Amino acid sequence: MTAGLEIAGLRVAYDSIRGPVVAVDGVDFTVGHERVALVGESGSGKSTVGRAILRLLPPSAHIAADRMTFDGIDLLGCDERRMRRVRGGRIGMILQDPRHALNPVMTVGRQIVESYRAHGGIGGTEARRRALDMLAAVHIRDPERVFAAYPHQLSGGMGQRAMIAMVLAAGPDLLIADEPTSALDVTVRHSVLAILDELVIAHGMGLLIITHDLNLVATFCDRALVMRAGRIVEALPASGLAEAHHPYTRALFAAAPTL
Amino acid sequence: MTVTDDETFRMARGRLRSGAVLAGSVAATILGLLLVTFFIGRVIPVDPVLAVVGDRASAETYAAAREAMGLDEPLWRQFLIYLGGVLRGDFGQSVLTGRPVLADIGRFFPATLELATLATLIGVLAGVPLGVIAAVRRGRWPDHVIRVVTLLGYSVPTFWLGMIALLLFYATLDWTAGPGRVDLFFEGLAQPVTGSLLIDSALAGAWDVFGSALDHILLPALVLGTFSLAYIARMTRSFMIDQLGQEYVLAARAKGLSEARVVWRHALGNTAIPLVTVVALSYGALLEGSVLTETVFAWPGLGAYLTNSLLNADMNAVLGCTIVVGIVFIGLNLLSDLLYRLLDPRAR
Amino acid sequence: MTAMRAWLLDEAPASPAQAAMGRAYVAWRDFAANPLALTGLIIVLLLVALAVLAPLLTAHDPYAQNLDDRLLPPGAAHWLGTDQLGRDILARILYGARITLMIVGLVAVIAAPVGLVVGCVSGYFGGWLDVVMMRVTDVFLAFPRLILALALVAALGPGIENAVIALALTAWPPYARLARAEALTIRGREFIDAARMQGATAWGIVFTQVMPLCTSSLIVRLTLDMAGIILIAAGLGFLGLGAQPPAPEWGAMIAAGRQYLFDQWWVATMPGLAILVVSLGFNLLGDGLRDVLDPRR
Ligand SMILES: Nc1ncnc2c1ncn2[C@@H]1O[C@H](COP(=O)(O)OP(=O)(O)OP(=O)(O)O)[C@@H](O)[C@H]1O
Ligand SMILES: [Mg+2]
Repeated sequence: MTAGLEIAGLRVAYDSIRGPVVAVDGVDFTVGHERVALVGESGSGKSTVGRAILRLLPPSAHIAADRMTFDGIDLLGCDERRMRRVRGGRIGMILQDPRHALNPVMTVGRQIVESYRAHGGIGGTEARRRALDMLAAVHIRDPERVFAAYPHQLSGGMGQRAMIAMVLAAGPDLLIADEPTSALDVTVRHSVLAILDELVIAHGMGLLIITHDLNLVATFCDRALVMRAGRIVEALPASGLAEAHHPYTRALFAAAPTL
Repeated sequence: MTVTDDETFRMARGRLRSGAVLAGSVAATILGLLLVTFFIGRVIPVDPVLAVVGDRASAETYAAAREAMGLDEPLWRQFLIYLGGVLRGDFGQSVLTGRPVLADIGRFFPATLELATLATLIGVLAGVPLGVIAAVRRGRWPDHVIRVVTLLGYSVPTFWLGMIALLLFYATLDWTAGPGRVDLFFEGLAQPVTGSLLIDSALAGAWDVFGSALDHILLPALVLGTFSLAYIARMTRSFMIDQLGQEYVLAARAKGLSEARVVWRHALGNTAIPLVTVVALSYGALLEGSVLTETVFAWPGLGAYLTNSLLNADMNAVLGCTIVVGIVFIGLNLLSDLLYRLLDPRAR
Repeated sequence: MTAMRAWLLDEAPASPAQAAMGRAYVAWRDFAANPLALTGLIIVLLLVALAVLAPLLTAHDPYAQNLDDRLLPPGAAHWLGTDQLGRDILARILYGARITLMIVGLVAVIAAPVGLVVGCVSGYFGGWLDVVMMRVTDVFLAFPRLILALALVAALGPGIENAVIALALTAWPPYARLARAEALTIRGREFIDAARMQGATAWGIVFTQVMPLCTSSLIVRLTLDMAGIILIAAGLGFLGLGAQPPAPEWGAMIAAGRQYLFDQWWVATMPGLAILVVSLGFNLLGDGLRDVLDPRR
């Protein structure tokens, strides 16, 4: 039994008025204790892959795979209860825009505490203490204030750090981050990424990061998977992106602005 | 009962006006309301004096009323006279009861409020869960069943439903008490404190009166609550569908929360805010719907008073009721505005 | 057939006409795929057919009294029974459909154009005219509609014409709101500027360019409102303020059956069922239309 995420032959189709639309068309890859980037143009199926792993696609989506396991747990076959323990507890997911991904009528603190209580089996005071620690760990200077704040009271960068704290709370072994910085101001992108990187290494987590930003891939990742029209067209070390063979990858790279 | 879905959406979205603008618009709306009732009472009727004093009035009464209404004056002066009277709480005399209209309304309104409140309670307690279930099971059979049920609730004439309910549950099955507010035997036994017979009798510990009152109110409240149930369920469904599509719901699921918690805590927590407006609007609609329901159930409230006044062409009473219900409508709107600010952290 | 479908669903339509027909086709397919909406459409069409064909469908005269046959239960001779004056209830319901249709039709024909004009003028011209008109609209919207209608009928006197006037007077404000919102978006479009350049007057533009474009959404809204109008009209009839006896108006028929409710249930039950079915039909139809035009809800 191998550790980490193993996917083989993943296919996803969405129902539509013109019949099924194949969004992911036979994808194979693994993620161990490493940082893997999933890149590709818009609509190539990256988010669909990320959500399929947690079985969080809308009802109109149909998933099929030859194999989709995490540490030996069959992610497609297991029942909903088991899956709930995987979500958050084993595999966490960070979404793109903290302004939409945090519940607007619940304080940030409650939302982090909720993560602990869903998995940790710990009491309220203990959860609160750990939540404050976690907020400090994502370099929030005034954890007490942010804990009591509502999402709309935070800046984009702070919101995204609060979300990272929320997702890391239950101590997942793999983190899926779907464009974690693209909704942020250019000025705070780098610091949020640095924090993410620091925590991933500190906790020994695996990371699957979905992004358009090839500079980010080169700086923060070990490997890159290039997606196009629902397929992985190339897999290569992140450092080797610039020397990619596939014309599509070269075109992608050529289109990216340099840092 | 005429609140429509679109209006609700408009009202739920068009929030967050500043306090001054709000006060100004409330004042302007009340002024408009009085202008309309003035026209209905003083301009449309061929002989407005007769419409107000009734055709059995003596020559002196007629002359005095004519004098008080200032009918020789230009229209705008007449309106000012009318406005002055209404603002001082003088809605004129009721031809039917011979008492000041405002005193009559004060006597009959509590019964209506009691009925409408219970009906709204039923509507909220049943409508919200139904709406949530329909949204969660969207497009599948529970959703279809709930849709048909709520559309039936929109489509049924309440006065007829009341009659059928009486026929079935009172005359045939004998499960509930018949028309009226309480068994004749208990009439006037509970000391009126709040005006709600249920609360008054409970306060006084008169449980037999309470039981009889509950027996009597259940059927009309259920009948009146049908509309509110349908309306609240439909609105809950569409607000919930909106919310369930939001990113934060995905994030909550990705945290490993139970589906129940995601739906009832996260999504419904956000739905509750616009729902406040819906409940306020449906409460207003029920006050209006009570006009017909009370007639059927011989419920001694404002609706029955208004109907009696209508049938006797008692214009002062009719317009008095119109103004009072209109002002309650405006008040409910204001209240839902304030609650909205209180509940939504983004609006504070 | 498949070629036709493909043409209609073409993702890159060659002409605006093809695109429009494609949209209409998709809308109709959504609508037809919804059995509830279809049921509503059928009920409404049936109502019209029954009203028109009433004399062919029943041999009974809705006004003919026959005191020997009074309060007969539903049976072979009188399918839905007879009322307190021995009149055939089925015949009265069929002829009563005409009254219902007439009321609904008249209210629609009066209220919708009033709302359309107020809303378009308000939205297109803006400024103080807009402020004043929308204030007036708000006042009417703040009013409890049934009670306003009751007060109006009380002042005007009972009768079907006055009931229609009262209903129309209370029905127009939502249309004005809707038309104003549409007019506001249309105002900024290029073809309006073009018309202005060519020397069209503001009023000309409002009547020839803005109003026609506002009409379609108004019609949908009108369908949704029909059930409400039917219910209020029936309520007025029930209170004796609408159509006067011996007219077979459904609300008035229920009121007449009220005193026989516990012993001759059919007298009040049958016309109530008629109201329920028809208003359900309009609600189903309106609901289906809304689903098609705004799938988000
Ligand atoms: N709910 C849905 N229903 C139908 N089709 C969908 C749905 N979600 C995504 N798709 C389709 O699936 C394909 C892949 O979408 P996906 O969101 O996974 O792309 P992506 O690579 O994440 O794009 P982006 O970089 O823009 O986020 C697209 O063609 C999209 O139109
Ligand atoms: Mg994406």
